Amino acid sequence: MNRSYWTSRPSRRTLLRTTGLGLAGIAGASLLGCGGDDDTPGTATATATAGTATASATASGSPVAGGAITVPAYLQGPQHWDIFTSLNKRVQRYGMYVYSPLLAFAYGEGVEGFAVEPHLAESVEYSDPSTLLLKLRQGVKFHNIAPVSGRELVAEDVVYSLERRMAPESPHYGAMFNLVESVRAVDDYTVELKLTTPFAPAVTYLATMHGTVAAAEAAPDGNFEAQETAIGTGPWILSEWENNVRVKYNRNEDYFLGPRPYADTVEDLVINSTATISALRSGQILFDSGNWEKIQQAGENFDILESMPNTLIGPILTMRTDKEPFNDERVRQAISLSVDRSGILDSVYGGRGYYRTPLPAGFGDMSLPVDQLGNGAQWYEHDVQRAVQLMDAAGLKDGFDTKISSISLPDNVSFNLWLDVIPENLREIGIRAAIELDEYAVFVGKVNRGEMDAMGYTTGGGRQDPDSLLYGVYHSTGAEQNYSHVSDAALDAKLEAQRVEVDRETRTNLIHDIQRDLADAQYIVHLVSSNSYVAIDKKVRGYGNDLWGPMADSFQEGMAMANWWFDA
Amino acid sequence: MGQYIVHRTVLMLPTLALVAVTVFLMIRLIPGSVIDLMVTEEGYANDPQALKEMLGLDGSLPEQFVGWISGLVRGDLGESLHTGRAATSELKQIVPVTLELAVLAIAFSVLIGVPVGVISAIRQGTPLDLILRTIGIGGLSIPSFWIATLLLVLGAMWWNWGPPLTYRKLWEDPLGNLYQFAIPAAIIAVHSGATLMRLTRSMMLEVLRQDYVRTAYSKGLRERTVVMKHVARNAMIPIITVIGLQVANVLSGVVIMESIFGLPGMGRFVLTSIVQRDYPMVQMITLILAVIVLFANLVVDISYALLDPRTKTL
Repeated sequence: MNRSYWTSRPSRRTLLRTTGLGLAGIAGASLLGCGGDDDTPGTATATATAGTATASATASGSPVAGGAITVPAYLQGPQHWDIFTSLNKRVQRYGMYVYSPLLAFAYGEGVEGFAVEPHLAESVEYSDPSTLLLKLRQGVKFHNIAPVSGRELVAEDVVYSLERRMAPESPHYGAMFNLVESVRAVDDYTVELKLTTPFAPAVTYLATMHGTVAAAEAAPDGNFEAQETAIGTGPWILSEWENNVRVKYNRNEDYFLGPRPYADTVEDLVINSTATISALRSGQILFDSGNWEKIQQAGENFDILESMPNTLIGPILTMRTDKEPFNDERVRQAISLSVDRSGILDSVYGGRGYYRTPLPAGFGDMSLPVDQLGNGAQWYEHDVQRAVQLMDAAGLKDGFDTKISSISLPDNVSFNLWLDVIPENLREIGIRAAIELDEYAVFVGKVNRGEMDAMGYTTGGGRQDPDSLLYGVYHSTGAEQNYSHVSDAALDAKLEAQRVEVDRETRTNLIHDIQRDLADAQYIVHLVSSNSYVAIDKKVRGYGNDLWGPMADSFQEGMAMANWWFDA
Repeated sequence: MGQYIVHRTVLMLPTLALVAVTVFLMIRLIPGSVIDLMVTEEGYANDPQALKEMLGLDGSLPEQFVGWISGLVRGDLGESLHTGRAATSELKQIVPVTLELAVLAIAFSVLIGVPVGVISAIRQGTPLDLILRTIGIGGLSIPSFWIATLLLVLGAMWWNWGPPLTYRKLWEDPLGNLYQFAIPAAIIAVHSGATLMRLTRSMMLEVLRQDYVRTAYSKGLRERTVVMKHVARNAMIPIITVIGLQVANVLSGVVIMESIFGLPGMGRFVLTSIVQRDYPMVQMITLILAVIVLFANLVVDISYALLDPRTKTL
């Protein structure tokens, strides 16, 4: 048989040469790859200062027009653009790039929580405790897209939008819109909103998605397809939309808060959360947010900010207070004492976190820190011995078996950590808790509606007014999400009182009182949240440290990005 | 041959019927109601019962099934419960993405797996054979999602490099599109290519030991001629069958890769739809995937008949 290509064996010399070249290639690639100590996780070179803004705009002078902002999209982007047929956060969040609200939350340096300021409405006042008068800013123009074609926004558009919001066939925030008696245009620039009863949170909610204004031409029987088209007065004009891929907006040259926006375009790219660091470091996006472990990998081209606390969402332990043994206050207090909040804060979060309370930080002077919660402050300490005494006093010296219903969130290390910690902590006081994990849709139905058997571990959520986290969670009949089946008549009375008190100072005192009661009763055991961080390209200016804190909760990042500009 | 094709096509229908019933029931039997999600989590309505009626979910299961099937017969694939968009409008976007990724993945696995298997068989017992077999084992063992995640992380951390993470259409940016798809397709091809490589090697060795191959060598034919003309053709028959079976594996790999690399295909869409309990979308995509797998196997059967005329008589 002749030796051929197929059967010839390599000579020893050939084999050695090939192996040597191969090894040299691998070594070369490794040397190229291993560059820069800031590339290694855990050795971030950027510094973050807790609670204060990093100077963003002042160093380089005046804003300059131009540039393209690219950011990771929230979830998969909008499902459609009709802001009146769904309260889905994807629809509303992207809608607020295009549609402006009547009022807005302040953002930027020195901002504390949800401070409401004028926006489309340049002022709002109470003509009586149940009636709001909104004076609209004049000269605000809709985007120059047919059929609206850049006309001026007038009171009738506000009336139309609010009426669409509260139409029976539309999903709406019933707590507010079910109270609306009438809405009318007093003149071209004045709207009267009359409620059946005073409702203090109304002003706050007009600064959210509930207060966004669309043109009357967007009516269902009108002449444009609201699911595909968005025509508002916002800083950005919808330019391109590929479902589940990206959304692109162009600058609105006629924005009523001109000369903003400065950037030419904003593009939200749908990127898997595991790939955002890759996208960041390869320059495909110039902003990302998340926990410290993730954001510190951003690299030397990015500033890292510690953002204000993510206010509305945080880990909580709920329990069936309508059943034994959780109907005993001592048991609930013992559970709270058993949770090692400081241990987690120090050992896991490296001190980068904060204790959550019934009204967490971010609501400004309405929130009380732990040391101001009166008698309830003691339950936030970690004191196993005292917890055991309470259990004994409750007749549960031998403890009890229970279940904790929850969910595993793949991308949320902090949340998942508590699934290990909580049973360990509870075991120290005799409570033998088994974790039951459910899939998302089951979890939503079970834990978030308080239908778990015994205990639940979830991320509590709410809206931008304290009412949603207090009345909305603890009122025996009116709560949207009464996680713990609370039924407390005295508490109900206080919750109702704060809701109708339109004087801010008086209301603040009422809310303080409620927080102290809740801290003492421990209907819900609030845990610890880690701080949130953002990485932002060093060329970007004009932002404050409220990124991904209250700003994200308010869905107003589109509006905030109108302030961004690029330092050449 | 025509009769053969018709016969095989007709045999697909019972399978499709079984898939339709199974997916219809399974998505509805998963705990967690779409009504709960849409009301509690997403604020789609104030009244759960009204929402149920609006979405057509208030009827009994047989009623809903008959309604769905009758719609299918009319060409109505349904609408998304969450967006109200017609399924066909979603299909236009997602099907080409998945098909492109799957075709590329299969092409890579065949182009790499088969030749490597041939070389490994020809060089049986040599160090090269050992190396190739080791790589093949590695390809079978290492999960594709691990490779993909490692690629993204190491690429970003070491070289500040990342693959394009937003979809580029083939007809708008052909080179960008191929660049974007090549990486996830290659990763999927690692596993399926390793399978083909090992099977090719095994089949080649079996055929190489046949008497007629020895006869061909004895006649003085060149090695290349013996292998390409006599050995490979006989060895390929079962390999082509396996390629058809690989289509199902590739499609499952596509789901993961689409999620990681941000490709808006059927895999990522069906994952989202399952989480959201978007019944019509899950049903539609599962049926389409079943059709693709069945059609791929039909193609395999036809090519089998071309390669081996004896099968036409079946």
